[in-house]
Amino acid sequence: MTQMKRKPRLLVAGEFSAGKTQLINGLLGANVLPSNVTATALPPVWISADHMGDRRVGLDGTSEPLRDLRNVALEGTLCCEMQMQAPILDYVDLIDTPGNSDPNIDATSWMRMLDCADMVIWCSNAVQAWRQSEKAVWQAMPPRLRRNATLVVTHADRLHDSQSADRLMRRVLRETDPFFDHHILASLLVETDLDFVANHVVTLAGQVACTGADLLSAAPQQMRPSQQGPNPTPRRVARPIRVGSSPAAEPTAQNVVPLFDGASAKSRAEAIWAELVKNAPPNSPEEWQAMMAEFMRAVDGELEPAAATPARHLGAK
Amino acid sequence: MERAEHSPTDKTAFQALQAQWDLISQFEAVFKSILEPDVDFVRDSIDRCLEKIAAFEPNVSVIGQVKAGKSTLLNAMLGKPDFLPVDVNPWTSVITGLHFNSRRRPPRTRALFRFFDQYEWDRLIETGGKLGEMANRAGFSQEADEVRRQVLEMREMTQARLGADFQRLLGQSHAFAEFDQNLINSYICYGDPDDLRQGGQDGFYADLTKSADLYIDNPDFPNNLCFRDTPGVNDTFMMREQTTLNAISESRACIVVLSAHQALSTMDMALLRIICAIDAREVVIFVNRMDELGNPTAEEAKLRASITKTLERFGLGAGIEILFGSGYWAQMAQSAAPQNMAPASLSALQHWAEMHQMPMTSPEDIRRAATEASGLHHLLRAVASRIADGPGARMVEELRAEARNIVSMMETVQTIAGESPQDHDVAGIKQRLFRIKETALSRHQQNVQQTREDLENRLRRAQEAFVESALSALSAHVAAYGEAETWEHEPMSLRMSMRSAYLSACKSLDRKAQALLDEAAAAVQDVMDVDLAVVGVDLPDEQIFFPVIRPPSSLSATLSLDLNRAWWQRFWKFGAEARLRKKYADVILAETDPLIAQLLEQHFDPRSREVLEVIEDYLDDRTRYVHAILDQKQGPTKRARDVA
Repeated sequence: MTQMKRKPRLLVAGEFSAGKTQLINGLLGANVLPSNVTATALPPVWISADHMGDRRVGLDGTSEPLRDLRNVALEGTLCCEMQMQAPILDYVDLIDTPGNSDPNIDATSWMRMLDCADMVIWCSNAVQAWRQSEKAVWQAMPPRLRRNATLVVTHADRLHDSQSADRLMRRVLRETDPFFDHHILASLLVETDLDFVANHVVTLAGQVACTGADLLSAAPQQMRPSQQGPNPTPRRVARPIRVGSSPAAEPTAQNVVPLFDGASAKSRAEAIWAELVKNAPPNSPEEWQAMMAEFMRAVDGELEPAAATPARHLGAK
Repeated sequence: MERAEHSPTDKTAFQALQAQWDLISQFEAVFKSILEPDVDFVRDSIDRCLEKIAAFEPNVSVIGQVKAGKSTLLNAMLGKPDFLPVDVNPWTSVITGLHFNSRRRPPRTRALFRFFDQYEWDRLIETGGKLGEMANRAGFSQEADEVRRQVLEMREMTQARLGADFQRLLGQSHAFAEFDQNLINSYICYGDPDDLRQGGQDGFYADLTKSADLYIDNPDFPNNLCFRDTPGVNDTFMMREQTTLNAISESRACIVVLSAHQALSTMDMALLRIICAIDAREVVIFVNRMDELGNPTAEEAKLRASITKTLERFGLGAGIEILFGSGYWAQMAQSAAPQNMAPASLSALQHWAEMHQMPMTSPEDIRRAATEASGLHHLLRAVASRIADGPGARMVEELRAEARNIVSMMETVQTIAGESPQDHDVAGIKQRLFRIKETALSRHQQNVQQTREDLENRLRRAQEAFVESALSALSAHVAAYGEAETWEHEPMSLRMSMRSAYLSACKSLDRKAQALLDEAAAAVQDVMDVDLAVVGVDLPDEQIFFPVIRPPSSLSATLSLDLNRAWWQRFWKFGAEARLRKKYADVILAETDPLIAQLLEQHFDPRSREVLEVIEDYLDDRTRYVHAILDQKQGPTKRARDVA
């Protein structure tokens, strides 16, 4: 069986000004993308360590070198590819999308990128979290992406007290429980919150990894550069996601994208993972990565990986 | 908590409005003073004017998306931070009227909560069902189920909570001579399901409450002004939206509250386009929550440019005033210690104060800066001037015209009373006047019929054109992109053409009514000149005021279509083009047929009755006038003989 070796791709979506770009910059640990209080008129941006340079990819499949991200015509552009190095990019590709519900940007612009994505984080602003316009879009998501999805309620710093945060997240959970497997309340200004999301992303990446071995060849000390050192305890979390435990430890048919062909292979992978976690639940990024690597090695040895989700090719790789 | 000493309400904001009210009160006093027994023939006209004054209460609706800060803004305006219930989740569930210094306040009542009656409750449940039906028809069983689930869940929860009281409460109202925060909260906020299950009172009656009216006497506000807080739109609980949209058409002015961090989304645009069907001059956009931006002054300029550009792109904009501020700043300005505001808001205020060269050293400095930066004064002034220039000015104009008519008729009758009596064919003259009125009324009837037919034809044509353009756009799209790509067709164009068809039908009816009244007036004048032979006496010829044509609120019923864009997007993902065409055409027709019926039956027909009333009043006034002249000319003896 031929297989396409690539990293999982995380699409970050949400309405405009929901903090998508800020979250991506935070995950990268650098202000790579410009963000603005008014709608950001950027095409989708696909950031990967494996791209060959920065390019603009047209709807017609042609591509050209990218000079300035800010001056790309939205019309006729599928997306912009950016090549860069960052710890998180050792695990996933990140796809930034223009905000939904911006009256000046056609929604199809970001929806086209859904075909490329393996998993989605939906950003919703804490001060106006989870409205009908978001729900309507989410209900139209391909079922493949609704599995294993994460709702990140951003701008937690704008809530005035922890009681408000609790009340808010109780409602958000009540309303979005059928739609998301993971709910995170985060301030994008707080390092530990960003660390937490970064760890979560790596966890997800492990779950949807198409081929695992090469992802973990170089395990960095931290997921993202930080001034405060590696200490990924979440500041405020609605549904506690202890690093490396619950999401992957209890995979069920609903929340795991099939890693392998056939039900038996899948349950075997689950069994391997459950065994690993039972013996020594990881509780730091280092331990977590080590365990992931061990899991992948075990899996590689035992099982034939499935073909990757067919993705649209964007120019020559 | 009373903190009147820090009230941010600038008394001068309402000066123009108050001056207008003083003028209207003078009219009222004059009208009352001429209600004497010997001027019976103008009594009806005067009563009509007095009724008009009594009913005059301009409405300002505060609308916007959930969590835009509408209730907080109104609380700040009142100077009472805890007046309307506010929460981190969508909270306001009922349209709440704040009536300032109202003359229509029911006796011994400060708070009045009306419940749905059985019919309305059933209809509300059914409206949810209709939304569900629509979803079903379009093949979105998931959404249909969702709406059904929401409706049923609400009904079950409400009935379980209220138990035996439920049936008894339907159609009732609760009135209170005094109210406090807890009382209000049990009627007008959603309540937290968890709290309610544990016996919490917030939101206890909310689902059953149709409207809330709170009466507030506050010398800082003008008389008879009503602000209405509304449930936010774009709530995941979809049924409330329709209630809010209905409120818009009844309002004389609207404050559209946007949230600074996401100013003007597609949702806001959909809302604005519906509101602007009223009159753009009566709309003020308030960009709230500016305190949540890092550098509010710099961002304000960017936001203004971007909002203006977007509004223009959609053909709105002209006449819409855009203001910036923060209900939170206003609220903190009223608190005992404004320096204790949230650090991010304080730092934003510091930025603002620096740009506006205001000191920020003492708590009083902070209070002043927060008051100024809150934008509340500007907002109140803008709203007040819109009411004064719009409905206020029109009211004064109408009263002035009526007063002139009444005075001139009285003067004429008095002059004639002094002249020597003459003999007239009284029965013949009365017969002629009666015929003039009959002719006018039957001509109006014909006009209504004709205009209604024309309107229906035009609406049908608009519907056909929309289906046609939607289908050809679909074909073009499929040809260019294939069926895999999503596609949507904007229902706005249909709504706009239906609206303009309706408005132009109303205008045409007004014009025809004006023409037939002109003719009737000439005929009455002829009776005066020839039959009565009064020389140099003209009928009063002040302008005739037809009631303001309100935009048809039924059209906003399609907002749910605009919002559920995802429905349409998904629509195109499956199936072959031919089947799609048929299905899509069916959906549009099924969706728009009721709209046409509503426009005719619920808007045009009542409108034609309003115009009929104007015609009748006008002719009755003139008939009574001629009768009065006739009485005077007959002299006392002749009058007695006629009676005998």
